[in-house]
Amino acid sequence: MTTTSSSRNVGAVTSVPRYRSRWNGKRIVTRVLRYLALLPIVIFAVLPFYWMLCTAATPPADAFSLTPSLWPPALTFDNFIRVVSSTTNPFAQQFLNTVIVSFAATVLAMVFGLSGAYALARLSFRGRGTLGTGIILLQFFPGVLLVIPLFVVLSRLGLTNSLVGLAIAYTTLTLPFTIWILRGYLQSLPVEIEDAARVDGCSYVGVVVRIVIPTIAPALAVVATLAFVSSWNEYLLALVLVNKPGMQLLGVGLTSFASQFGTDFPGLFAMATLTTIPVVLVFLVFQRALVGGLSAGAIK
Amino acid sequence: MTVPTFSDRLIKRSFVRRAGNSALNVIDRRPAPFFLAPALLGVVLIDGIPLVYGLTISLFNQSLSNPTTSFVGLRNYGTQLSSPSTWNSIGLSLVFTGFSVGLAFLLGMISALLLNAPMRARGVIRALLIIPWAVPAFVAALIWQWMYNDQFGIINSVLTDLGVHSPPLWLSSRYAMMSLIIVMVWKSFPFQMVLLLAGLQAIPDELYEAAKVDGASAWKGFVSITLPLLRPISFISVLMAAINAFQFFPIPWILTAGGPAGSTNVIPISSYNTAFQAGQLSQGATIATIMFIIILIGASVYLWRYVKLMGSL
Repeated sequence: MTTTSSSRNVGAVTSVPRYRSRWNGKRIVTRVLRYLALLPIVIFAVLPFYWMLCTAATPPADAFSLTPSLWPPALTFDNFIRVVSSTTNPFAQQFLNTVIVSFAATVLAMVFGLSGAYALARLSFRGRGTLGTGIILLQFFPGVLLVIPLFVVLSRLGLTNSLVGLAIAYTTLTLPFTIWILRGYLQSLPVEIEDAARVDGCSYVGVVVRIVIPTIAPALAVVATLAFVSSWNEYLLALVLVNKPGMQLLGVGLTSFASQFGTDFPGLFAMATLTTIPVVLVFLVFQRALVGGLSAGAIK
Repeated sequence: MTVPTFSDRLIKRSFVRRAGNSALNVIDRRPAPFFLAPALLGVVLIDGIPLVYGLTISLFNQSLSNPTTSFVGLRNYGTQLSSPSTWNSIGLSLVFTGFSVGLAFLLGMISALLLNAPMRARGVIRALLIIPWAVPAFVAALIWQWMYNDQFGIINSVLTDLGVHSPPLWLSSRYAMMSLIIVMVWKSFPFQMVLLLAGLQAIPDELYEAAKVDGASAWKGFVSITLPLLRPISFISVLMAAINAFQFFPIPWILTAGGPAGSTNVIPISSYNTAFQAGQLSQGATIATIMFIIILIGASVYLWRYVKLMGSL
């Protein structure tokens, strides 16, 4: 990796040439053209997000304008206060449900995923290759194919309309890629330190706790981020497995609010903003690690 | 792949191995089952069994209203494959997947190429471009539905300001598929951009410098260095995006729910409606299985062509 003078702006895996701020006509023209070409893409990417924030901050009386403007006439925080403090709107409860289920699914995927990845990467046993391929293949299975049998099984077990059932169902989504990424990361690390610890009498559990977890902490952060975000953003399973308003998660809560109170767009997008901000923050904080971790897994 | 057989043998002979009956020693004698158990429990119990069960359901005539079921063999598949609406859904899904993945790849590639140079505010621009990836799909669908609104929507308001006389009714049967594709491109291009950017940054600068010394133009360098070296990562990102788009549910469901007049009735919507709106669980599972088989065949052909092209994976 080359060191760059503008390291602040450069991603984790860069090998870009050294940044020189020399005055050079051709270079400046190229740079301006670069920004000009990026501008429409940035507008396309940001505009819907910006429009959500604008609508959320518009007083309800102004939301239905036949000539809406990109610059809202007045801004207010009242919509946020209204949706959070409402006694009839289950938004706060649904937010809490989503937090609980996403955390539980993340923790389950990490524990199961780490031990599975360790076994696949480090231990020798019959059927290791087949099992590894099988887990990669699981990523190809469409969620819609899983949702019907999961619905039948969980309703027989009495686990529909339950956060436990949802956490289990979400783990089905996150476990395969957790195992896959952690396994790839472990295989890229030298095994000698772990062997040395074994020879010195450390148990397998000790090796995992004292050596593996500290070494692969960056990969664990990536996997936890992905698992949390994909649980938070899941929609189909939450739609099928829950039908009581108090047990619903944010996705179904928001869409049923939209169809019930179709005219309260400021309220709807105030809730949508509160739903989106946590994941956008998590994404921005872990952006670099995420890019590094994903590409390491994909390039392998 | 490193199989630590030698060190395992070494450890078995090692004097340091302590005797005793503690739990850790039990694990150490046979570590693989212990470490595999939780993952296997997870994968087999909550992925494997539902999958097999899903295939089984498609061979019965189970419905939400009728608790008694009987085995019907492949009759559901006959029903679905002889129904024009199934083929219509498959066609719509191919259009949705093809266009959204193609355009998202193109946009991701352009953004990655533009961002792959030292420039001010690069980190900020990249962060802004990643936002659509982080926004939950159901929120994205709600925002775009509001922006597409024909009376109060911002898109048509801006188009009118720009002088367009009768802007399109975005969610009408004529334009709905195009509108869904735009939302899907918005949601999925950052993923392509991030992977391609990582691929670009892994290309050593020496290659370009050597090409420059040999008198190659920038375009020639792009065609004969950048594109070939991006092929492996493009292959993976396109495959993942295509599988994702083919089965993508929230955006079509929230924006149009398959309508108007079936114009966006892609396979996942058709499967969901059949299973949970019409209550025909077995028919829904049959459609989902057909979708899975299409993904499997498509991915295999794609992989096979790739291996033929590149010599190996």
